[in-house]
Amino acid sequence: MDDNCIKVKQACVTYKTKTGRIEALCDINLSVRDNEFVSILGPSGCGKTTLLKVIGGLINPSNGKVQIKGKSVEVIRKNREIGFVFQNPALLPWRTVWGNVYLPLEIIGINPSSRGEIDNRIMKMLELVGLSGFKDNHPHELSGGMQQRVAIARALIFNPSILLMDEPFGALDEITRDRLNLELLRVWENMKHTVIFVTHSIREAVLLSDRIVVLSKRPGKIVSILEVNLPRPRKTSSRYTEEFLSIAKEAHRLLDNDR
Amino acid sequence: MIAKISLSLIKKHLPSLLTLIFLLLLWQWLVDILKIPGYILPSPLEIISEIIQKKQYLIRHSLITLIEILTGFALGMLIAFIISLGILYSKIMEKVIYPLLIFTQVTPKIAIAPLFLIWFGYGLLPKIVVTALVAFFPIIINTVKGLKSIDMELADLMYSLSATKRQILNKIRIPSSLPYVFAGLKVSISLSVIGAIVGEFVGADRGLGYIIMISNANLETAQVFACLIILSIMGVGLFLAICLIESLYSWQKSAEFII
Repeated sequence: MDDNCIKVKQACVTYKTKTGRIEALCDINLSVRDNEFVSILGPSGCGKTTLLKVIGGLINPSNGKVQIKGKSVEVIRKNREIGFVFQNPALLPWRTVWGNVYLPLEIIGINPSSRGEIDNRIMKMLELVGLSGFKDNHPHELSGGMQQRVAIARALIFNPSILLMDEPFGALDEITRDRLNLELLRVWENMKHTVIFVTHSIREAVLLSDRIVVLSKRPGKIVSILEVNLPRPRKTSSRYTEEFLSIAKEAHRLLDNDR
Repeated sequence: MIAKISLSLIKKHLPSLLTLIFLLLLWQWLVDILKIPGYILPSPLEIISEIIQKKQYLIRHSLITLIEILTGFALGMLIAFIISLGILYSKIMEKVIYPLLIFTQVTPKIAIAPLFLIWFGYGLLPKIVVTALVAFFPIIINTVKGLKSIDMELADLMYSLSATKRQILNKIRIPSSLPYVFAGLKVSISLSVIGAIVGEFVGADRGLGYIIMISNANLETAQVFACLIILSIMGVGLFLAICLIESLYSWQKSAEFII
């Protein structure tokens, strides 16, 4: 039995614009294992987000295909196995934190007789992301980092097997970002889903990932895939180890060569 | 509680209140000193005594105008909501209806109103139709904009959860459109007052517009002013009522509702 969870085969994406066709992604081949944490690293505009959206079934590739657990993305999406977190938390401003996390369960249609169970589940999730004291607050009362934690809780509440994250901490300051990186790892070690994480931060990619997919500038091609063999659980101090620095250096070199 | 609110209201609006009182005193003084005849410009005191004397009569006609305004506004709102949903879900509808809407708005209502007299007779109906015709346009423009103002990321999230169109409408589009809808309703309620009076000017035997016409013809200028004052109070009252409803039901607090 093949333990590859996500398989991208020869995927290409071209956009039609007024001035002609733009090739966003070119010949992407990628396999991601179950429970693996994979980052997609590259300069802005290289098609990282496009690749993530192809994997999540939001964009159909012009060529090639994506399979998840041997099924088409369409089937996986309809089974609600994919959770999304974007750079913009995209919370509903009229709902409380609790209500925002509840939204996916509402959409999926959870049995209303188990109201107490739902409340338990949401409170557990809020606890996991460190927001149990804020369940009745509205998004505008929270900081950017807290809003993003709500978005993570919302993405995980329905137990998706795959979590797709598109620069989720890109808009946050470095201190908050570093803290949330570690919290994300803690959540992931708790739930063990497969994560694909788009970022343009080398430090973030190295700290979080099992493997880093380095993309070239447009049209995005895979330059290299780096293995990160830092021991887990990773801590703040992991950032200052020899291995960390050598992987970061290598990622830097790959991105620089591409210029 | 109410006493506290009204006290803070008075405090807040004291400067404008004082200015108003000063202007009224100036008006009274000028009319007295220049001996301006009442049929050209009645003094504030004359107008007030006119209102008190003809209280019954004025209230009766005010109620008729109020009914026209409210019914026309409600009808306009209903039509606007239905058309907005049509425009939201059908590209063809959008292409066909938008130009037509603009036609109905650039044609002066005062020029169409006589036609309604022919079609709908002499009663309340032609006034209600004119009112609805001026009321619905700002609501449509704002509602359509509000319903379409959904975050790209939120739309992606809903798609990844396989949400139905109805769920997206009820849980995302309608709540997020509320601030826009109320902005439209506020413009619309002010226009509705004008619409009802226009309808009455063209041909009526009841209502404040009718009284303004006949008092003007008979040089009963104080009565004209009495009607104008009632109309403006009615207009402000209706506007504040919308603001109050907004502060109760919309998640975004109205900027105009100042306490």
